[in-house]
Amino acid sequence: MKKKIFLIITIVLINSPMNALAEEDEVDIHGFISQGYLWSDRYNFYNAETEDGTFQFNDLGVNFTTQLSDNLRAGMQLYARDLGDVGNDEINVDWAYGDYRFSNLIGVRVGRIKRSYGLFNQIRDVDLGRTVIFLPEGMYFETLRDQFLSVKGAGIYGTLPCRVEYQILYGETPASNSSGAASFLETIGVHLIDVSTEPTYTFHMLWRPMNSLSAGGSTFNFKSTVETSLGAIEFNGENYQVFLQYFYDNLMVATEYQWGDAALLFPATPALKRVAKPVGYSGMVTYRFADWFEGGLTYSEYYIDKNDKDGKKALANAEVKDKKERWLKDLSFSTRFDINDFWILKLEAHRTDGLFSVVDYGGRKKPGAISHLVAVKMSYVF
Amino acid sequence: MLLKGGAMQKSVLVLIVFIFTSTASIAGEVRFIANQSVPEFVISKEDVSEIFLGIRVQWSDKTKIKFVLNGDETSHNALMKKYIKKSPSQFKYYWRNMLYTGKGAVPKTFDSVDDLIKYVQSTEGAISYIDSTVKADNVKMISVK
Repeated sequence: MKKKIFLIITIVLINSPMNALAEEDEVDIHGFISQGYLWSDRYNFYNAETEDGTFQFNDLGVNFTTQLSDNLRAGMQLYARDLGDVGNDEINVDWAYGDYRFSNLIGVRVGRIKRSYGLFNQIRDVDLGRTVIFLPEGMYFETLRDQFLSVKGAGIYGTLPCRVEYQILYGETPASNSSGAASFLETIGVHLIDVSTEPTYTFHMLWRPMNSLSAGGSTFNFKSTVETSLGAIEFNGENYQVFLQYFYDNLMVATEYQWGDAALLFPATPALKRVAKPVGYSGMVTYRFADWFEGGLTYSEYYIDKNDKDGKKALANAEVKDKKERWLKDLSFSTRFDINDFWILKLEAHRTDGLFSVVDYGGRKKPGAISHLVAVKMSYVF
Repeated sequence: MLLKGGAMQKSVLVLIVFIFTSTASIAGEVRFIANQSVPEFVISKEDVSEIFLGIRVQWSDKTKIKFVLNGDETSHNALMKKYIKKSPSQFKYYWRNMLYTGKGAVPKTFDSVDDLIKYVQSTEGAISYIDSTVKADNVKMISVK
C-alpha cells in the first residue's frame, strides 16, 4: 500500500518544474526515478545476481522542502532502492530535518541528517549530480552505504571567514533488517534479528582556498550491536578521510584517502575477536565534452587491513576462504548522456581485481582475481 | 562506403574539434544589480562565488541574500567563467546535489531580463547579474573589486 501511495505521489508530481524558487510557505517538490542493469563476467557483485545479469538495480526518491521563514527551512525525502537483496524497494525516510541558519557562521539541523564524509557521501543517492554510477568502492562501499548515509540526531554547520565550511553531527545511525549489512550476513549463513546503534560523532571540514579548489578532511565513528542467529556481534570503529577536488572549465579532478580502525567483537566467544586497520584511496577525472556528453575515469583501491594487504595472515588465521577477499582494486570508465534536462543515461564498465566486493564467488575453489562488471542506468529527474 | 585512412583521420579530427568546441561560447561582461535594501556597495569576487553557491546566506545587516539566475546564456556563462570557476553543467550539478540532499533549493532562473530586473527591484535582499549593456533602473549597482 505504501508503495502504491508513493508511486501515485510521484506520478502526480512528475511535472513539477526543476527550476523553482521555494518561496516562503510554499512546498517545493522534486524527485527521481532510475532503472539500471548490471552484468558481470564472473561472480555476483553487490548482493545481486550480476553474473546472470540483473535488473534488480533501481531507486526512487521524492523530496519535499519548504522555506518557513528567512532563516528556517524544513524538508524530507522518501527513498526506496533495490540492489539485489538490499533494499527491496522498501520506502525509507532518506533525510528529514529542520534547519535554522542563524548567520553565515552557524546553523543548526535537527532530525535525520545526511552525513558528510569524504567528497561524495552526501550525494550517494543523488545519481543525477555526478558522472559515475558507482562512487569509488575504495572509499564508498556500496553494499553498506545505508550504514553510513545519515544520522538521526542534531548538528551544527556553517562557513568560517577563512572560507572553511564545517559540519558537526551527533546521533544514531538508523539500521534495518533490509540493510546491506543484513544481506551480507545472510550470505554467510547468519540471520540478522535486530540492530541497535549507539550515538556517534561526525566532523567534516572543507576549505576552499580558491573557487576552483577544495581540500578537506572528515572523521566519524560507529558503534553497533547486531543480534544474529549465532549470538550478538559488536561492530565498532572509526574512520578518517582527507580529500582534494579541482575544477578547470569542464574538467574535474578528485582524489581521496581514508584510513581507520574496525573491530568485530563476539561477547559470547571473545576469542573470535577480529581487528583490522582498513585503508583505501581513489582518484577520479571527469570531463564534459559537450552539453549532452560527459566521460570519466576512476581508480580506487581498498584493503581491509593495511598490515595484511596480501591477505596471507587472514588466510592463515582462517578468517577468509581466499586471500583475495582482503582487497579491491577497481578501474572504471563512465559515460553520461544528458538526453534532456529530465532524462539521463549512464554506461559504466569496471575492471576489478580482488574479491572484497564479491559476496558470492559461486563455490569456485580457486577463484581468479580479475573480473569485469558493466552497469547501465537510466534516470528521470524532476 | 568505407573511408580511406586519411579521410577517416580527418573525419575523426573534425568530430573531436566539434565536440570540444560545442560547449564553448563567447563570454560577455556582466554587472551585478541588487535591491535598494542591500547594504553593500562593493563585494569581492569570492563574495560573488559564495553568494551564488549558497555558502554566504546573509548580507552584512543580517538580511537574507536572495539571488536569482539570468537565463541569458552569454551572461550566465560569463558569471561562471569569471566568478564561479565552474562550468554551467558543474554549477547545475552543484545545485541539484544541494536540492536532493535537502541543503538548498535550486535558484530560480529568469528567461526574461525585464522580469529579472523587476524581481530584483521588488525583492528585499535580492541580487542578480545582467549583461553590461542592459539598462536597469531602481536597482543598486554592486561593484566587484
